[in-house]
Amino acid sequence: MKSQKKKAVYILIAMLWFFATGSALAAPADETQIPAQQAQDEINQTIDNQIEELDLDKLNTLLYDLPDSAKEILGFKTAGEMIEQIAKGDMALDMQGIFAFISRLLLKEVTVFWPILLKAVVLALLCTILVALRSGFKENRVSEVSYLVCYMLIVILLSQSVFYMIRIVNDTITSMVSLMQAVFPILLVMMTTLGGSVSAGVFQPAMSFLAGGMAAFFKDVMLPAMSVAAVLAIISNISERIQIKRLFELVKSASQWVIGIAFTVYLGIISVQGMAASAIDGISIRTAKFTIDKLVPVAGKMLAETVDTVLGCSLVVKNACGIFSLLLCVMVLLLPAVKVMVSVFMLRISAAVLEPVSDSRLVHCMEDLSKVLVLILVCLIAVGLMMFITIALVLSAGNTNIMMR
Amino acid sequence: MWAGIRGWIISLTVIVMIYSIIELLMPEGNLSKYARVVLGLMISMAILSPIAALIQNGLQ
Repeated sequence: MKSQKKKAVYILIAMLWFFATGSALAAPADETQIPAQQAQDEINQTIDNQIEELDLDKLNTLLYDLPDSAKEILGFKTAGEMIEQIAKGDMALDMQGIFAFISRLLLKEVTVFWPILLKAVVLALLCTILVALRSGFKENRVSEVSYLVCYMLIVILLSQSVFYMIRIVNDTITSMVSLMQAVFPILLVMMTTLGGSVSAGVFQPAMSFLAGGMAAFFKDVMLPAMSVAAVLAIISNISERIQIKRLFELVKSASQWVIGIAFTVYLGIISVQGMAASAIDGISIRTAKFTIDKLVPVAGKMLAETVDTVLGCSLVVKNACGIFSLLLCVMVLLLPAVKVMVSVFMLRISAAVLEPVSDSRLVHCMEDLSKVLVLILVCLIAVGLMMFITIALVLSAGNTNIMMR
Repeated sequence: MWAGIRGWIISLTVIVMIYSIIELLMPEGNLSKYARVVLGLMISMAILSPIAALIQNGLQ
Protein backbone atom coordinates (compact mmCIF):
# COMPACT_ATOMS: atom_id res chain seq x y z
CA MET A 1 0.00 0.00 0.00
CA LYS A 2 2.63 2.38 1.15
CA SER A 3 4.92 1.66 -1.78
CA GLN A 4 2.06 2.15 -4.23
CA LYS A 5 1.32 5.52 -2.71
CA LYS A 6 4.96 6.39 -2.97
CA LYS A 7 4.99 5.36 -6.61
CA ALA A 8 1.96 7.50 -7.33
CA VAL A 9 3.64 10.49 -5.71
CA TYR A 10 6.75 9.93 -7.78
CA ILE A 11 4.78 9.74 -10.98
CA LEU A 12 2.89 12.87 -10.05
CA ILE A 13 6.11 14.71 -9.38
CA ALA A 14 7.60 13.46 -12.61
CA MET A 15 4.56 14.58 -14.57
CA LEU A 16 4.54 17.97 -12.87
CA TRP A 17 8.23 18.41 -13.61
CA PHE A 18 7.66 17.36 -17.18
CA PHE A 19 4.85 19.85 -17.74
CA ALA A 20 6.66 22.57 -15.94
CA THR A 21 9.83 22.19 -17.93
CA GLY A 22 7.87 21.51 -21.09
CA SER A 23 5.99 24.73 -20.77
CA ALA A 24 9.13 26.51 -19.71
CA LEU A 25 10.92 25.16 -22.75
CA ALA A 26 8.03 25.89 -25.05
CA ALA A 27 7.40 29.39 -23.79
CA PRO A 28 10.80 31.00 -24.49
CA ALA A 29 10.73 29.71 -28.02
CA ASP A 30 7.80 31.97 -28.74
CA GLU A 31 8.54 34.85 -26.49
CA THR A 32 12.28 35.32 -26.84
CA GLN A 33 12.20 35.25 -30.61
CA ILE A 34 10.97 38.80 -30.75
CA PRO A 35 13.09 40.18 -27.90
CA ALA A 36 16.18 38.57 -29.45
CA GLN A 37 15.35 40.26 -32.74
CA GLN A 38 14.69 43.51 -30.93
CA ALA A 39 17.93 43.23 -28.99
CA GLN A 40 19.83 42.59 -32.20
CA ASP A 41 18.25 45.63 -33.81
CA GLU A 42 19.00 47.69 -30.77
CA ILE A 43 22.63 46.59 -30.76
CA ASN A 44 22.96 47.36 -34.46
CA GLN A 45 21.36 50.75 -33.86
CA THR A 46 23.80 51.50 -31.05
CA ILE A 47 26.75 50.42 -33.17
CA ASP A 48 25.59 52.58 -36.09
CA ASN A 49 25.16 55.57 -33.80
CA GLN A 50 28.59 55.14 -32.32
CA ILE A 51 30.24 54.83 -35.73
CA GLU A 52 28.45 57.94 -36.91
CA GLU A 53 29.88 59.85 -33.98
CA LEU A 54 33.46 58.98 -34.96
CA ASP A 55 35.60 61.40 -36.90
CA LEU A 56 36.77 59.29 -39.83
CA ASP A 57 37.86 62.03 -42.27
CA LYS A 58 41.56 61.40 -41.86
CA LEU A 59 41.11 57.65 -42.27
CA ASN A 60 39.13 58.24 -45.44
CA THR A 61 41.88 60.38 -46.92
CA LEU A 62 44.41 57.66 -46.02
CA LEU A 63 42.21 55.05 -47.69
CA TYR A 64 41.92 57.31 -50.71
CA ASP A 65 45.73 57.54 -50.93
CA LEU A 66 46.19 53.78 -51.12
CA PRO A 67 47.11 52.35 -54.52
CA ASP A 68 44.18 51.09 -56.57
CA SER A 69 45.15 47.45 -56.26
CA ALA A 70 45.03 47.71 -52.46
CA LYS A 71 41.67 49.48 -52.65
CA GLU A 72 40.33 46.65 -54.75
CA ILE A 73 41.15 44.15 -51.99
CA LEU A 74 39.35 46.29 -49.45
CA GLY A 75 36.42 46.65 -51.84
CA PHE A 76 36.40 50.40 -52.57
CA LYS A 77 34.53 51.28 -49.41
CA THR A 78 34.73 54.23 -47.06
CA ALA A 79 36.21 53.81 -43.61
CA GLY A 80 32.80 54.08 -41.95
CA GLU A 81 31.29 51.33 -44.11
CA MET A 82 34.21 49.04 -43.45
CA ILE A 83 34.17 49.57 -39.71
CA GLU A 84 30.42 48.93 -39.69
CA GLN A 85 30.91 45.71 -41.65
CA ILE A 86 33.63 44.50 -39.31
CA ALA A 87 31.57 45.42 -36.26
CA LYS A 88 28.57 43.44 -37.50
CA GLY A 89 30.72 40.49 -38.49
CA ASP A 90 30.04 40.82 -42.21
CA MET A 91 33.64 41.44 -43.13
CA ALA A 92 34.87 38.56 -45.18
CA LEU A 93 38.41 38.92 -46.41
CA ASP A 94 38.89 37.14 -49.65
CA MET A 95 41.97 35.03 -48.95
CA GLN A 96 42.36 33.95 -52.55
CA GLY A 97 42.03 37.54 -53.64
CA ILE A 98 44.77 38.56 -51.23
CA PHE A 99 47.12 35.88 -52.48
CA ALA A 100 46.37 36.84 -56.06
CA PHE A 101 46.98 40.47 -55.12
CA ILE A 102 50.37 39.68 -53.55
CA SER A 103 51.48 37.54 -56.46
CA ARG A 104 50.38 40.24 -58.91
CA LEU A 105 52.40 42.78 -56.92
CA LEU A 106 55.42 40.49 -56.99
CA LEU A 107 55.17 40.00 -60.72
CA LYS A 108 54.75 43.70 -61.33
CA GLU A 109 57.78 44.57 -59.22
CA VAL A 110 59.84 41.90 -60.93
CA THR A 111 58.99 43.40 -64.31
CA VAL A 112 59.93 46.85 -62.95
CA PHE A 113 63.32 45.71 -61.67
CA TRP A 114 64.17 43.31 -64.41
CA PRO A 115 65.46 45.91 -66.93
CA ILE A 116 67.80 47.60 -64.41
CA LEU A 117 69.42 44.34 -63.41
CA LEU A 118 69.51 43.09 -66.96
CA LYS A 119 71.47 46.21 -67.87
CA ALA A 120 73.82 45.63 -64.94
CA VAL A 121 74.36 41.97 -65.82
CA VAL A 122 74.97 42.71 -69.52
CA LEU A 123 77.42 45.48 -68.61
CA ALA A 124 79.26 43.15 -66.26
CA LEU A 125 79.48 40.45 -68.91
CA LEU A 126 80.78 42.93 -71.50
CA CYS A 127 83.29 44.16 -68.96
CA THR A 128 84.48 40.61 -68.30
CA ILE A 129 84.95 39.98 -72.00
CA LEU A 130 86.79 43.29 -72.39
CA VAL A 131 89.08 42.54 -69.45
CA ALA A 132 89.77 39.06 -70.81
CA LEU A 133 90.72 40.49 -74.24
CA ARG A 134 92.89 43.18 -72.71
CA SER A 135 94.78 40.90 -70.39
CA GLY A 136 95.53 38.80 -73.45
CA PHE A 137 97.73 41.73 -74.49
CA LYS A 138 99.31 41.89 -71.03
CA GLU A 139 98.10 45.37 -70.53
CA ASN A 140 96.98 45.09 -66.97
CA ARG A 141 96.56 48.79 -66.40
CA VAL A 142 94.22 49.23 -69.31
CA SER A 143 92.12 46.29 -68.25
CA GLU A 144 91.99 47.73 -64.75
CA VAL A 145 90.81 51.07 -66.07
CA SER A 146 88.13 49.46 -68.19
CA TYR A 147 87.04 47.44 -65.15
CA LEU A 148 86.80 50.62 -63.10
CA VAL A 149 84.67 52.31 -65.74
CA CYS A 150 82.33 49.33 -65.93
CA TYR A 151 82.16 49.14 -62.14
CA MET A 152 81.16 52.79 -61.96
CA LEU A 153 78.45 52.34 -64.57
CA ILE A 154 76.99 49.31 -62.85
CA VAL A 155 77.21 50.91 -59.44
CA ILE A 156 75.36 53.98 -60.70
CA LEU A 157 72.52 51.72 -61.86
CA LEU A 158 72.42 49.73 -58.63
CA SER A 159 72.79 52.68 -56.27
CA GLN A 160 69.91 54.42 -58.01
CA SER A 161 67.64 51.54 -57.15
CA VAL A 162 68.98 51.33 -53.58
CA PHE A 163 68.44 55.03 -52.92
CA TYR A 164 65.04 54.82 -54.55
CA MET A 165 64.19 52.08 -52.04
CA ILE A 166 65.40 54.23 -49.16
CA ARG A 167 63.16 57.03 -50.36
CA ILE A 168 60.18 54.70 -50.66
CA VAL A 169 60.71 53.36 -47.14
CA ASN A 170 61.00 56.92 -45.88
CA ASP A 171 57.68 57.85 -47.50
CA THR A 172 56.03 54.71 -46.14
CA ILE A 173 57.14 55.47 -42.60
CA THR A 174 55.72 58.98 -43.01
CA SER A 175 52.38 57.64 -44.18
CA MET A 176 52.33 55.08 -41.38
CA VAL A 177 52.87 57.89 -38.89
CA SER A 178 49.93 59.77 -40.36
CA LEU A 179 47.92 56.54 -40.15
CA MET A 180 48.74 56.29 -36.45
CA GLN A 181 47.86 59.92 -35.93
CA ALA A 182 44.50 59.33 -37.61
CA VAL A 183 43.69 56.06 -35.86
CA PHE A 184 44.88 56.64 -32.35
CA PRO A 185 42.59 59.51 -31.35
CA ILE A 186 39.64 57.34 -32.43
CA LEU A 187 40.89 54.30 -30.54
CA LEU A 188 41.65 56.34 -27.43
CA VAL A 189 38.22 57.98 -27.51
CA MET A 190 36.62 54.55 -27.78
CA MET A 191 38.83 53.31 -25.00
CA THR A 192 37.78 56.14 -22.72
CA THR A 193 34.17 55.34 -23.58
CA LEU A 194 34.86 51.86 -22.32
CA GLY A 195 36.10 53.25 -19.06
CA GLY A 196 39.71 52.73 -19.94
CA SER A 197 40.86 56.16 -18.83
CA VAL A 198 44.05 54.83 -17.24
CA SER A 199 44.93 52.75 -20.31
CA ALA A 200 44.18 55.71 -22.54
CA GLY A 201 46.47 57.74 -20.33
CA VAL A 202 49.21 55.16 -20.76
CA PHE A 203 48.78 54.67 -24.50
CA GLN A 204 48.55 58.36 -25.31
CA PRO A 205 52.23 59.08 -24.50
CA ALA A 206 53.26 55.70 -25.91
CA MET A 207 51.60 56.64 -29.17
CA SER A 208 53.21 60.05 -29.35
CA PHE A 209 56.51 58.39 -28.50
CA LEU A 210 55.99 55.90 -31.31
CA ALA A 211 54.77 58.35 -33.91
CA GLY A 212 57.07 61.18 -32.94
CA GLY A 213 60.11 59.48 -31.48
CA MET A 214 60.55 56.00 -32.89
CA ALA A 215 59.37 56.76 -36.42
CA ALA A 216 61.54 59.88 -36.52
CA PHE A 217 64.44 57.86 -35.17
CA PHE A 218 64.06 55.25 -37.88
CA LYS A 219 63.51 57.87 -40.55
CA ASP A 220 66.20 60.35 -39.59
CA VAL A 221 68.87 58.10 -38.09
CA MET A 222 68.52 54.56 -39.38
CA LEU A 223 67.75 55.33 -43.01
CA PRO A 224 70.68 57.77 -43.41
CA ALA A 225 72.84 55.14 -41.69
CA MET A 226 71.61 52.72 -44.36
CA SER A 227 72.69 55.08 -47.10
CA VAL A 228 76.08 55.41 -45.40
CA ALA A 229 76.28 51.61 -45.39
CA ALA A 230 75.34 51.51 -49.09
CA VAL A 231 78.09 54.01 -49.97
CA LEU A 232 80.61 52.04 -47.91
CA ALA A 233 79.52 48.83 -49.64
CA ILE A 234 80.21 50.46 -52.98
CA ILE A 235 83.56 52.04 -52.18
CA SER A 236 84.88 49.07 -50.24
CA ASN A 237 84.85 47.07 -53.47
CA ILE A 238 86.46 49.59 -55.83
CA SER A 239 90.01 48.44 -55.40
CA GLU A 240 91.37 45.03 -54.61
CA ARG A 241 94.25 46.36 -52.57
CA ILE A 242 92.49 48.60 -50.16
CA GLN A 243 89.81 46.97 -48.15
CA ILE A 244 87.40 48.92 -46.03
CA LYS A 245 85.06 45.98 -45.73
CA ARG A 246 85.35 45.95 -41.95
CA LEU A 247 84.02 49.48 -41.80
CA PHE A 248 81.00 48.42 -43.81
CA GLU A 249 80.49 45.43 -41.51
CA LEU A 250 80.77 47.74 -38.52
CA VAL A 251 78.09 50.11 -39.78
CA LYS A 252 75.88 47.19 -40.74
CA SER A 253 76.08 45.33 -37.44
CA ALA A 254 75.80 48.55 -35.43
CA SER A 255 72.55 49.39 -37.23
CA GLN A 256 71.29 45.85 -36.69
CA TRP A 257 71.92 46.14 -32.97
CA VAL A 258 70.36 49.58 -32.74
CA ILE A 259 67.21 48.44 -34.56
CA GLY A 260 66.94 45.38 -32.31
CA ILE A 261 67.44 47.35 -29.11
CA ALA A 262 65.01 50.10 -30.08
CA PHE A 263 62.37 47.54 -31.03
CA THR A 264 62.74 45.45 -27.88
CA VAL A 265 62.83 48.37 -25.47
CA TYR A 266 59.78 49.99 -27.03
CA LEU A 267 57.73 46.79 -27.03
CA GLY A 268 58.82 45.89 -23.50
CA ILE A 269 57.80 49.24 -22.07
CA ILE A 270 54.51 49.50 -23.90
CA SER A 271 53.34 45.94 -23.20
CA VAL A 272 54.10 46.06 -19.47
CA GLN A 273 52.46 49.46 -19.07
CA GLY A 274 49.44 48.43 -21.12
CA MET A 275 48.86 45.31 -19.05
CA ALA A 276 49.08 47.14 -15.74
CA ALA A 277 46.79 49.93 -16.88
CA SER A 278 44.08 47.64 -18.25
CA ALA A 279 43.87 45.77 -14.94
CA ILE A 280 43.25 49.04 -13.08
CA ASP A 281 40.63 50.07 -15.63
CA GLY A 282 38.86 46.73 -15.32
CA ILE A 283 38.48 47.28 -11.60
CA SER A 284 37.23 50.83 -12.04
CA ILE A 285 34.55 49.69 -14.51
CA ARG A 286 33.51 47.02 -12.10
CA THR A 287 33.24 49.57 -9.31
CA ALA A 288 31.17 51.88 -11.50
CA LYS A 289 28.77 49.10 -12.41
CA PHE A 290 28.47 47.97 -8.81
CA THR A 291 27.81 51.55 -7.72
CA ILE A 292 25.04 52.03 -10.27
CA ASP A 293 23.53 48.68 -9.39
CA LYS A 294 23.46 49.16 -5.64
CA LEU A 295 23.11 52.88 -5.10
CA VAL A 296 20.37 53.77 -7.59
CA PRO A 297 17.28 52.56 -5.76
CA VAL A 298 14.81 50.83 -8.05
CA ALA A 299 16.12 51.13 -11.59
CA GLY A 300 19.69 50.45 -10.58
CA LYS A 301 19.80 46.90 -11.82
CA MET A 302 18.33 47.84 -15.18
CA LEU A 303 20.63 50.83 -15.55
CA ALA A 304 23.62 48.66 -14.82
CA GLU A 305 22.51 46.25 -17.53
CA THR A 306 22.04 49.10 -19.99
CA VAL A 307 25.52 50.36 -19.17
CA ASP A 308 26.71 46.86 -19.90
CA THR A 309 25.03 46.77 -23.32
CA VAL A 310 26.40 50.17 -24.32
CA LEU A 311 29.85 49.13 -23.15
CA GLY A 312 29.58 45.93 -25.17
CA CYS A 313 28.62 47.85 -28.31
CA SER A 314 31.46 50.30 -27.80
CA LEU A 315 33.77 47.36 -27.43
CA VAL A 316 32.57 45.96 -30.73
CA VAL A 317 33.00 49.30 -32.48
CA LYS A 318 36.43 49.83 -30.93
CA ASN A 319 37.58 46.39 -32.03
CA ALA A 320 36.22 47.05 -35.50
CA CYS A 321 38.13 50.35 -35.65
CA GLY A 322 41.23 48.58 -34.46
CA ILE A 323 40.92 45.73 -36.94
CA PHE A 324 40.27 48.21 -39.71
CA SER A 325 43.40 50.16 -38.78
CA LEU A 326 45.43 46.95 -38.63
CA LEU A 327 44.22 46.15 -42.14
CA LEU A 328 45.12 49.63 -43.30
CA CYS A 329 48.54 49.34 -41.67
CA VAL A 330 49.19 46.08 -43.52
CA MET A 331 48.01 47.58 -46.79
CA VAL A 332 50.30 50.59 -46.40
CA LEU A 333 53.22 48.33 -45.50
CA LEU A 334 52.68 45.62 -48.09
CA LEU A 335 53.56 47.40 -51.32
CA PRO A 336 56.94 48.90 -50.32
CA ALA A 337 57.89 45.72 -48.44
CA VAL A 338 57.27 43.67 -51.58
CA LYS A 339 59.26 46.20 -53.60
CA VAL A 340 62.30 46.02 -51.34
CA MET A 341 62.06 42.24 -51.10
CA VAL A 342 61.93 41.84 -54.87
CA SER A 343 64.95 44.10 -55.32
CA VAL A 344 66.89 42.07 -52.73
CA PHE A 345 66.10 38.86 -54.59
CA MET A 346 66.97 40.36 -57.96
CA LEU A 347 70.32 41.59 -56.66
CA ARG A 348 71.05 38.18 -55.16
CA ILE A 349 70.09 36.44 -58.39
CA SER A 350 72.28 38.67 -60.53
CA ALA A 351 75.17 38.23 -58.07
CA ALA A 352 74.71 34.46 -58.39
CA VAL A 353 74.61 34.69 -62.20
CA LEU A 354 77.72 36.89 -62.37
CA GLU A 355 79.83 34.99 -59.87
CA PRO A 356 81.32 32.40 -62.26
CA VAL A 357 82.23 34.94 -64.94
CA SER A 358 82.75 38.35 -63.44
CA ASP A 359 85.29 39.94 -61.16
CA SER A 360 84.72 39.02 -57.51
CA ARG A 361 84.62 42.69 -56.48
CA LEU A 362 81.49 43.37 -58.47
CA VAL A 363 79.79 40.28 -57.06
CA HIS A 364 80.77 41.31 -53.54
CA CYS A 365 79.41 44.77 -54.16
CA MET A 366 76.05 43.36 -55.28
CA GLU A 367 75.93 41.07 -52.29
CA ASP A 368 76.74 43.89 -49.86
CA LEU A 369 74.12 46.11 -51.44
CA SER A 370 71.56 43.35 -51.06
CA LYS A 371 72.52 43.12 -47.37
CA VAL A 372 71.92 46.84 -47.02
CA LEU A 373 68.53 46.42 -48.70
CA VAL A 374 67.67 43.65 -46.25
CA LEU A 375 68.45 46.05 -43.41
CA ILE A 376 66.23 48.69 -45.01
CA LEU A 377 63.47 46.10 -45.16
CA VAL A 378 64.10 45.32 -41.48
CA CYS A 379 63.71 49.02 -40.64
CA LEU A 380 60.41 49.17 -42.50
CA ILE A 381 59.08 45.99 -40.95
CA ALA A 382 60.24 47.03 -37.47
CA VAL A 383 58.29 50.28 -37.69
CA GLY A 384 55.29 48.44 -39.14
CA LEU A 385 55.40 45.81 -36.42
CA MET A 386 55.67 48.40 -33.67
CA MET A 387 52.56 50.12 -34.98
CA PHE A 388 50.76 46.82 -35.50
CA ILE A 389 51.56 45.60 -31.99
CA THR A 390 50.66 48.94 -30.43
CA ILE A 391 47.25 48.92 -32.08
CA ALA A 392 46.75 45.27 -31.11
CA LEU A 393 47.76 46.05 -27.52
CA VAL A 394 45.30 48.92 -27.35
CA LEU A 395 42.61 46.54 -28.60
CA SER A 396 43.46 43.82 -26.12
CA ALA A 397 43.81 46.32 -23.25
CA GLY A 398 40.27 47.50 -23.92
CA ASN A 399 39.09 43.91 -24.09
CA THR A 400 40.77 43.04 -20.82
CA ASN A 401 39.13 45.80 -18.91
CA ILE A 402 35.76 44.70 -20.26
CA MET A 403 36.44 41.07 -19.40
CA MET A 404 37.20 42.03 -15.83
CA ARG A 405 33.95 43.87 -15.11
CA MET B 1 75.85 65.72 -36.96
CA TRP B 2 74.61 64.35 -40.26
CA ALA B 3 76.49 67.06 -42.09
CA GLY B 4 79.68 65.81 -40.41
CA ILE B 5 78.95 62.19 -41.33
CA ARG B 6 78.13 63.22 -44.87
CA GLY B 7 81.43 65.04 -45.14
CA TRP B 8 83.24 62.06 -43.69
CA ILE B 9 81.69 59.65 -46.18
CA ILE B 10 82.41 61.98 -49.10
CA SER B 11 86.05 62.42 -48.07
CA LEU B 12 86.39 58.66 -47.59
CA THR B 13 84.96 58.03 -51.05
CA VAL B 14 87.21 60.63 -52.64
CA ILE B 15 90.31 59.23 -50.93
CA VAL B 16 89.50 55.69 -52.03
CA MET B 17 88.96 56.87 -55.60
CA ILE B 18 92.23 58.79 -55.56
CA TYR B 19 93.94 55.72 -54.17
CA SER B 20 92.68 53.49 -56.94
CA ILE B 21 93.61 56.02 -59.62
CA ILE B 22 97.10 56.54 -58.19
CA GLU B 23 97.49 52.80 -58.01
CA LEU B 24 96.75 52.63 -61.73
CA LEU B 25 99.13 55.41 -62.65
CA MET B 26 101.99 54.43 -60.38
CA PRO B 27 105.01 52.95 -62.13
CA GLU B 28 106.12 49.53 -60.91
CA GLY B 29 109.14 49.85 -58.69
CA ASN B 30 110.55 50.01 -55.22
CA LEU B 31 108.81 53.23 -54.37
CA SER B 32 105.32 51.92 -55.10
CA LYS B 33 105.43 49.84 -51.92
CA TYR B 34 106.03 52.89 -49.76
CA ALA B 35 103.48 54.92 -51.64
CA ARG B 36 100.89 52.24 -50.91
CA VAL B 37 101.69 52.31 -47.20
CA VAL B 38 101.33 56.08 -47.13
CA LEU B 39 98.03 55.96 -48.98
CA GLY B 40 96.77 53.21 -46.68
CA LEU B 41 97.69 55.34 -43.69
CA MET B 42 95.75 58.22 -45.21
CA ILE B 43 92.67 56.06 -45.52
CA SER B 44 93.02 54.89 -41.94
CA MET B 45 93.25 58.51 -40.84
CA ALA B 46 90.15 59.32 -42.87
CA ILE B 47 88.29 56.47 -41.18
CA LEU B 48 89.46 57.63 -37.77
CA SER B 49 88.77 61.32 -38.32
CA PRO B 50 85.23 61.41 -36.84
CA ILE B 51 86.51 59.76 -33.68
CA ALA B 52 89.27 62.34 -33.44
CA ALA B 53 86.71 65.10 -33.93
CA LEU B 54 84.53 63.55 -31.26
CA ILE B 55 87.37 63.49 -28.75
CA GLN B 56 88.25 67.08 -29.55
CA ASN B 57 84.67 68.24 -29.17
CA GLY B 58 84.30 66.25 -25.99
CA LEU B 59 87.33 67.93 -24.49
CA GLN B 60 86.09 71.39 -25.31
